[in-house]
Amino acid sequence: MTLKAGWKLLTIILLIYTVIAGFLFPIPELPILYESIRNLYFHVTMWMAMMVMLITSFVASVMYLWKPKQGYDLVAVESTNSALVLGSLGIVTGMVWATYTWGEPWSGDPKQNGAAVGLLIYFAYIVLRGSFKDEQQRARISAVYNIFAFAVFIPLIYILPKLQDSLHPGDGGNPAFSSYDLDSRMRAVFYPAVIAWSLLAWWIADLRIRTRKLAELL
Amino acid sequence: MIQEVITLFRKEIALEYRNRQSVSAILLYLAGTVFIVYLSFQHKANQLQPIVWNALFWIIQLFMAVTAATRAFSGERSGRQWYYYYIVNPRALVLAKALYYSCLSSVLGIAGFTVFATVISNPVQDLGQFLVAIVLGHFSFAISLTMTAGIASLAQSNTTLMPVLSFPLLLPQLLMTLSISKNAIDGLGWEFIAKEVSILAAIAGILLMVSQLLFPYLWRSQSN
Repeated sequence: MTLKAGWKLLTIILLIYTVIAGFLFPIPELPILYESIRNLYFHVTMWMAMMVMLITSFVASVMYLWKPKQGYDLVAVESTNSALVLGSLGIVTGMVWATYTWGEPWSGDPKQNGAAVGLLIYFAYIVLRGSFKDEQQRARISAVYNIFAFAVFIPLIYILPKLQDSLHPGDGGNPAFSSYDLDSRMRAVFYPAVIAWSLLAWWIADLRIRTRKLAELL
Repeated sequence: MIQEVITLFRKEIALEYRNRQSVSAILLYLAGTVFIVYLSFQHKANQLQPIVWNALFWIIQLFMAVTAATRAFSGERSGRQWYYYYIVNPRALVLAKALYYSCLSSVLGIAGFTVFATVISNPVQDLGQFLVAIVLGHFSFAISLTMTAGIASLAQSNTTLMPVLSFPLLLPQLLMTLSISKNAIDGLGWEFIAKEVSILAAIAGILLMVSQLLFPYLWRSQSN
């Protein structure tokens, strides 16, 4: 088994582990949360994997402006695409969780609104890419937008929800999960899950980059 | 660099002065929307709750700022863009444009407030805070809007692209501005908005820095 296929095998193993351990392993018993704490393994980790993909895309855009190679542009757009898939899944899993802990799927919480607007920003990136015919121009301008968008996205997600009354763990004076209940048993599932989702997202992006490159050759 | 910014800023004013109908058009647009709001409330607009007043005021301001800034890069002919490309520093250009559009929308924003206050009602208790909200809010909008206008002017179908690109990017600034202006309406002290003002200024500062770094790349495509 070469190293090249090795990380894909690792992804599969980690994903199977995440699903089995995520649903079956013991968890701390906490009021209100109960079994819904298992969402930590899916919602939070997917959102973190989305951040990994967005940072990849941001770095690729910076690299493109530094050295205009088409490869960087492909990395930027495809990691944004898989980040959008993960982000949408993250919102849906968050809504399922919120139904049982907050009482309704969408309560207009600052974190929820921020997440929705954040996704809008990146959907706008995809729309922007569609409105150029020239490839180099598309690559350069969407890289500029991508970097600019990232500078807005970070305060939107990490700073603003902390200011307002938010129900979301980690915001509005609420402790994050990590501060009281992420005990070692949960960590043993949480970190592999983050790696698993990130690798899966990169796998999807990688496949799409390769199909794009092949389509261009044809 | 500073000299260049001042010259470019004066150039924008001179161009605007020569082409006065576009500012008049925005003023008319403002008056028109305010009147539509007034009539939509069936002459009961003076009973508007402060929170509704605040939301309506800022939505109108937002649309006005977007309309004003859309012209930032499409107003001049491409031949002249080429000329600028050879003689000016792109960073000075984007700074001058951002400053110009923040002044323009602040002035128009104050005009809009006057119209709003006379036609609808004036619930604002602390005028000083409200002016800070208008000026700082429009300054932070203008920085984002000059960048998005620069991006949208290069694409096809830029009239629809402009709101699609700029609205989500304006949201953090808009939320901060809304809470400062709500505080001004309620007449509460400065200490309640210190955090919002500093965050708004910080966001504006970060965006200004990022636009200074990125605009040269955009500019290179501008003249291709």
